[in-house]
Amino acid sequence: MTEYHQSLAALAVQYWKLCVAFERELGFVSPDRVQPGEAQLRFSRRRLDAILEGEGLRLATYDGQSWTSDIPASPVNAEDISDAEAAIVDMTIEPTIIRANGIVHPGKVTLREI
Amino acid sequence: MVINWSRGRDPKGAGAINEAEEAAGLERLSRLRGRTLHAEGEETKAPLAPLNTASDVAECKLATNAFAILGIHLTASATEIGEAYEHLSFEPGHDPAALSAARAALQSPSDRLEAEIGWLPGLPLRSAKAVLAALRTNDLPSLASVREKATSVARVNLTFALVECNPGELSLASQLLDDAQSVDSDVVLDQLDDARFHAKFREIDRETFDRFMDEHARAIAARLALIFSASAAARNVFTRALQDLPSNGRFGACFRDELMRAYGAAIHGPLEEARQRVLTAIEELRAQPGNEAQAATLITSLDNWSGLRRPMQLHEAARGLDDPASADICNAVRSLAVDLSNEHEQFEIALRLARALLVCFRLVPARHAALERELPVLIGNALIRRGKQLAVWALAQPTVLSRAIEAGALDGTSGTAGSIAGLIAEVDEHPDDQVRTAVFLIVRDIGIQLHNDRREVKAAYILTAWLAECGPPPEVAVRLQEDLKHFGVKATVTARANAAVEPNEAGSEERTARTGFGRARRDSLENAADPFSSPSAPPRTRNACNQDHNKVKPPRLPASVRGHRRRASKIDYILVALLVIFWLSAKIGNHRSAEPASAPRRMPTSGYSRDSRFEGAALQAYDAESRLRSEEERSR
Repeated sequence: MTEYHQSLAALAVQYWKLCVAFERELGFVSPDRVQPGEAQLRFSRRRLDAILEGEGLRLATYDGQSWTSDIPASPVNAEDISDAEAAIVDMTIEPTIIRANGIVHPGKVTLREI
Repeated sequence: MVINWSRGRDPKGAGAINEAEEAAGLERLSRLRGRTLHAEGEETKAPLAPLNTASDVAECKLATNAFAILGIHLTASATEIGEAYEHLSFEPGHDPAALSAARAALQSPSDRLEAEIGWLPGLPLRSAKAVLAALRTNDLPSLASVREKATSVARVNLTFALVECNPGELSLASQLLDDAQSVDSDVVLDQLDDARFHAKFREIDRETFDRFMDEHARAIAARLALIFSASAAARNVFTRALQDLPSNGRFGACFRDELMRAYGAAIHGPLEEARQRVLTAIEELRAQPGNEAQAATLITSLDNWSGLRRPMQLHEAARGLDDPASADICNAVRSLAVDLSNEHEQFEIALRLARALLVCFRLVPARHAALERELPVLIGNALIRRGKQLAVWALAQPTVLSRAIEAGALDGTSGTAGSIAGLIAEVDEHPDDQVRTAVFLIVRDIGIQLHNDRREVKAAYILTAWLAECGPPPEVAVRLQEDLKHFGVKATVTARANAAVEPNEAGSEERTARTGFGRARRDSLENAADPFSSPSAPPRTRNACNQDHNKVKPPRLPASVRGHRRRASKIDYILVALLVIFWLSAKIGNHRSAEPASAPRRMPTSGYSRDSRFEGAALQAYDAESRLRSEEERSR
């Protein structure tokens, strides 16, 4: 794993978070501006995926999935889930950036008891 | 592994995960939780003492935090904040103004950041709920229990809440000092960013975050400084806590700086008063150099001043600096000690002052090192002075002293003989051979005076023999050996030189040069680097004082050891004189009655004492060899 890939992954994570924030802000704009905003958002996300793919990287999120040992992300609220309960990924805080031969950036998620 | 590229749900659905994978996930979660708990356990210090539950926590900073007022966690979104406000505004016992202010604060980016830092970042939701319950029910033990599991800023905030409720609990205040050093700002920022992302709030700007963290540290430190400055016991706890305190991270450094600034402001009045008392005592002691009471007053004032100032001395020392205020006071007292030693020969008072300075400024590295270098000279001067006094006391009551010596008082600690033994024991540990030589010569002079003036031969012999066994310096050992010969004892006196301060030793020269205390090297030392900026001269040793002021001459040294050439000529003279005397006595021995056996035997006095009055012919009476020869002549 090169420093270049690390930096690219960190930039991709911030870009992804910006997209999420932008999506959230679209809920507060006037209705006539929502559609252009959503189009821009779709385009930006496609570009992000394409650029990462060109470098051999992939971005993954796990919202709504059951929490298993295979998920390459850290739960930030692990203490809040009791041992006996099954949990699902409630929200992705940071996406996971994956390369063909390993994890470049482990993601962060919050869990929720089912 | 299923990867969802489109931020949506897994195309196969959550049901596609089999039970084995789910179980493995739970196991991993359990391990993660255990790891976190283990890490927290390692950081957890010893449990705090049980707290007084009667204290009111409603007024503490944690209880007035916006999150505490609304009863929500850091991850609460705007919707949840509104719901909490609506819910609580209809419940009795809540202040509507406080609720409104809390809601407004959490919706304003900057106010929210202040509230977030002041709340419990990184604390699990359950623990946060336990804290909320403890704050509402005034349950300090539960608060203390949660604190033991908390880390970073959350731990600091919980400890601060406990300190606010128990300001008299100094161990808590000390713990807070420790907790503040364990805060890692980067981790806190990450935790808050995650919480904000979850709450759908804007992420935090780094500069703003640092500014608010500094303000938070200052607010806590200012309150803590008031607690630490309240009493002498609190100041001692503060000093001990500072001594073991590592300095980590931005938060810890800011906290410490603000703590010292606030502490300085809090003690400014008492410190200034103590300083004035020290300066007044210095002036009064200068006016009355021999006043023991004034010296005691000065030492007490100095102790009081340094007790107040000690935490700041520590703080400066941790940064590799000397406390400037301490330097001023130290220079003033040291200058006085030097004057008392050099100008007024008040060696004991000067020594007491120097020892007090050593204690008071032990946390000021450069001053302490310089004082430690100077102390041996002051001790040496005081020992010589004490030896002189002992000699006066001893010769004032020679009979009492002689009987005591004959009774073995030199092995005890009482009386003048015991004091002599104590003096020799004390000077034996002194690093300077010149001081040891001077003191040994003084004691030897007592023996000579006992023998020559008071006719206490036995006591003089016991004292001389005892002194010879005490490991005298080489110069004195030679003389004691000569003395023992006069008593008819041929013994080799083993000398003991202190190798650490041999004049030719390089290290010793360097040490002396820095101190500016040397006698032989005085000239070369004047230009040496002196850590003190005081214009006053350093204290000189006793011999140097004598040379300068010609007040009290040191004991005259016997001619036999003044110099090789002079010694050789004197011995030749004595031998020739003895031969002449033997010849004359052989010639006229039949015409003259023999000297009575009870006649006082006198030691050769030339050079033994400045008060010597016995010269020339008196020598014949004592020399054992000459006596033997005389008897042989008579028998012929």
